[in-house]
Amino acid sequence: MPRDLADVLHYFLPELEETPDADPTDTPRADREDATTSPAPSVEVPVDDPTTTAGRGRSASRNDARTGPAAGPPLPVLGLPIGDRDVVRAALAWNLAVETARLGASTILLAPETDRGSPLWPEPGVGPLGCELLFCPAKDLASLYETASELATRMATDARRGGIVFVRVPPDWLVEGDGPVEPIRWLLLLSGARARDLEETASLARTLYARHSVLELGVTLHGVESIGEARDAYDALARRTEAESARTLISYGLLVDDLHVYRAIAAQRPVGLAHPQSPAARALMDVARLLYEDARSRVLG
Amino acid sequence: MAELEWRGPIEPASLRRALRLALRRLAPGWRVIAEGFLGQSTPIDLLAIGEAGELICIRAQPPIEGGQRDEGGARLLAQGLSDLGWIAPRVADLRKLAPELGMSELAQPRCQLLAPTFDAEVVAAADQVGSVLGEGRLALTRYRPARQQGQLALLLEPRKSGPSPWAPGATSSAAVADLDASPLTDPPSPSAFRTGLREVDLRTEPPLSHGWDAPGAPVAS
Repeated sequence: MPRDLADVLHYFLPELEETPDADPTDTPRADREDATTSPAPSVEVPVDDPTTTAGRGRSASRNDARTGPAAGPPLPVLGLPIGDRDVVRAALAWNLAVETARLGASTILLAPETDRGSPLWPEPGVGPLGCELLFCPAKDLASLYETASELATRMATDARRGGIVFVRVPPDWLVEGDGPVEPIRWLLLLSGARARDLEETASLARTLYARHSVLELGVTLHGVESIGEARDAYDALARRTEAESARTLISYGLLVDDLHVYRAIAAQRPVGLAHPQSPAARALMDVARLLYEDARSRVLG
Repeated sequence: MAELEWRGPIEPASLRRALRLALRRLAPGWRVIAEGFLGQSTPIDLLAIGEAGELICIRAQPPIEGGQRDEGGARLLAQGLSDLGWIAPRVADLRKLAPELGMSELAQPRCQLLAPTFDAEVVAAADQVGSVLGEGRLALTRYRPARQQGQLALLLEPRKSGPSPWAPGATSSAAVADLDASPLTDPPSPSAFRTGLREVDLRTEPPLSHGWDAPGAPVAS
């Protein structure tokens, strides 16, 4: 059963007919539950070697055999500023990547090699729903985004339904130095809704906007208990950003830090699989949908 | 706030990006699901889903450059009408095949057209056609390109009266923007907060009892 708009693109894009050797087994991610496998990967030098990860390697070789149209544009790279010990935001980021994969996207989460073994992340490799966690030896923002961009280009060859490369960015890398933060195009700030959290987020937004003229900055409020609370917090942030930077902060909904999130962190299982009916899972799915829609509307064009 | 009026040509991709940003603020309930989506014969700049689940075809015409013939928006209007006719019979299929997008089969597709200027005849034609098509299905909006921190931003023409074309249920008379309005400032913006959740979604479901706790019910081991 087709799942989304990509499956009916041929209604609209007659020049993009399927290739004769298209893989008929290419099913949506939701049908590939728990594809946990794999040699733990690290992206050593960006990503020419198809054996760096099992999943991507298979994808590449299958595509090489195709005679159909060339790959589309690279997948969007979404940066997430997450501190070195910020387990909650890391868990939310990983869960967002998994939920985006559940919607049919190709997703990968890239983090600096220094994260390996830290409590931020589960074991690297291909995880639930094909969402993959990779480490790369980047030491600064430029090299991290270079790796992310190459992954995005490679993944585009196989991501028939689009996707997102999620990147954990150490916040220090974003604010150090005086130069422009050029590699970044799309960043998501995960912000609490308390006054102090909003203050920190507004300050980071001001810094980033000042250093990047085309940055698209989004915010997801987490730790809220009602939609009204999240809306008020977003509105306050957006007004502040508008006043200080004359830029529009993009809303990416809200997330809930309920008990299920912490249980899932402890168990290193995604909330959407462990507790699919929980408010946390519903909220994650909603934010993933917003991210995926924004990502796809760039790629489909 | 915009800093300067935009000078020079505008790339289609830049125009779409600026349009998306403007829509995020003006129409937070719209979800853009595709960009450059091929219609009858030309790409629709943005394809969105409105709050009532209706598909919205959005086209923006770049400013006329030297040497180009100014059609006053006539071609844009033709393309918009073509989009409506082209996409309407496909809504049911799309809805079946992409249920998670939240399209409604009952909601008629809408068309939002944007250009720096529209000829009076084009406005009159759109008004006439809009009254035949039904409420809010065809809307013209004028925009002015501006430079904001070096980037293209769109200032959309405010409306003197009537419901916003960005809201569901806009009437046909309101669907054609009042193009004689003079000040070029964005209308008061509602909250651009986005979520598909309802308050009930944030409540933890009570544990299912289904009689397990009732007298005489089997006791779980």
